[in-house]
Amino acid sequence: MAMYRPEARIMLQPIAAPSVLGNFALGSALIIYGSWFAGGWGTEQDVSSFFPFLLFFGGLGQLAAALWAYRARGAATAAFHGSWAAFWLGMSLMFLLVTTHSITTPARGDAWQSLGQWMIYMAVVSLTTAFAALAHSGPTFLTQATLAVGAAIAAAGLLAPSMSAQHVAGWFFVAAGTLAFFAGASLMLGAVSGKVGEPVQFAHGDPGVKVGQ
Amino acid sequence: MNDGTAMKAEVFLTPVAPPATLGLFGFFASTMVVSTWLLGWWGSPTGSPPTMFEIAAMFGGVAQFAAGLWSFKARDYIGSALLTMWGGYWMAWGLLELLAALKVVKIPPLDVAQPGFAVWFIPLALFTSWGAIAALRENLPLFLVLATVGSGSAFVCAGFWAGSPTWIKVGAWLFVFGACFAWYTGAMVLLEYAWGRVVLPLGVIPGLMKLPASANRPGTVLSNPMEYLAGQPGARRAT
Repeated sequence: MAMYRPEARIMLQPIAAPSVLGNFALGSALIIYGSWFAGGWGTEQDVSSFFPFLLFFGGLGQLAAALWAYRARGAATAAFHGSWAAFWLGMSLMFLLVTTHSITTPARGDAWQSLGQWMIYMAVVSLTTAFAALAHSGPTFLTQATLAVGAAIAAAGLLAPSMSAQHVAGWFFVAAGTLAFFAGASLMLGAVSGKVGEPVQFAHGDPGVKVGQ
Repeated sequence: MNDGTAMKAEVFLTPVAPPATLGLFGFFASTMVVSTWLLGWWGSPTGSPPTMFEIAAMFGGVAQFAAGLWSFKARDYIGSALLTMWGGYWMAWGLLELLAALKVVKIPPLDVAQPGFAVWFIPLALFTSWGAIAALRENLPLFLVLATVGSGSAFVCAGFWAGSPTWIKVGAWLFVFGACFAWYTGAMVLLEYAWGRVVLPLGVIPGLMKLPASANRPGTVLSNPMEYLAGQPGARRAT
């Protein structure tokens, strides 16, 4: 019996750009943690107050963006936001254990070998995704490259240890967070203004069939 | 109900971004941190794990597991099986370390036999080695990831079973090499997708692997994505 071979079609499914959520969630976490890490405000005990925010914004928010990025066909977005989502989820779990007095972490300015090690590889990953993002988007490249530099400086500051290097790294995180907000806002405003692209839609259809709700 | 008319089936193919990169980056970072600690390059035997395992459980664990699940959508047999199972390993190890941090369980030093932990690496060594054989049809970097990690798992298994730090360190060295290959493989896939042409050579052995030898030359265009360039992400590739 001859084998029946069905016809094949490629089906493209447009969605809203997940990097808007990814950049806003990352920027929110970076600005709060970076300014605290840089010694700009607060005490060592404040991690217990802000870690839930890091968990749900830097962690869960970015993870959702990363997983939707596969559908959006955004390889750099998925890799970058997925990596930093995992970082913030891990940091939040650590701060939860600090809050419950199960573990202790070094104070800002002191040596912190394990976090320093993590920062090395976060810098490597971010630099790699930044080079990929350079093919499509200047603001996204700048965000990721700035964060990579900040992570590298943080690694040096945590391993050495050097309080001044840690402070510089913290402000780099704030700068990367600010750039992330700009990258997210430019994507969102470009899309809603209708000046970027011409999406396929039926204006009187349901959400998904038309753009927006 | 069959009314006698011929029925036709259509296959709908939906493009997604390659999920392997996030999984391989999670594996790379987590394996480097933990293996270099096992090798004594940094930290202390008991002082480091309480602030080391959390990100490993999330990056090597949750993120790699999610990338493995998306690999089903990418129709990738190796990624869907191996990324998901290695993600499972890192989450399981994270749970063990969490219980240790909460002082529910006690983890002995490396020179004490830990058969209950050693047995974890028997299935890990087996399925990773099978993945390495399958990767011989894909590309050399992926084969090297799975071959070094599969053999490293066997050494680590023997080391924890016998309480032999030497064998554990041999396995840790293999893991370090495997992690570096994982970074290369992840970057290779990501950059080829983002730039639309080969950036890092794909390490193809002609005749043995599916891709042409030109995949080893930077600048070669390998893919021809279906895109509506004025559309939203999904209808075209996004950043």
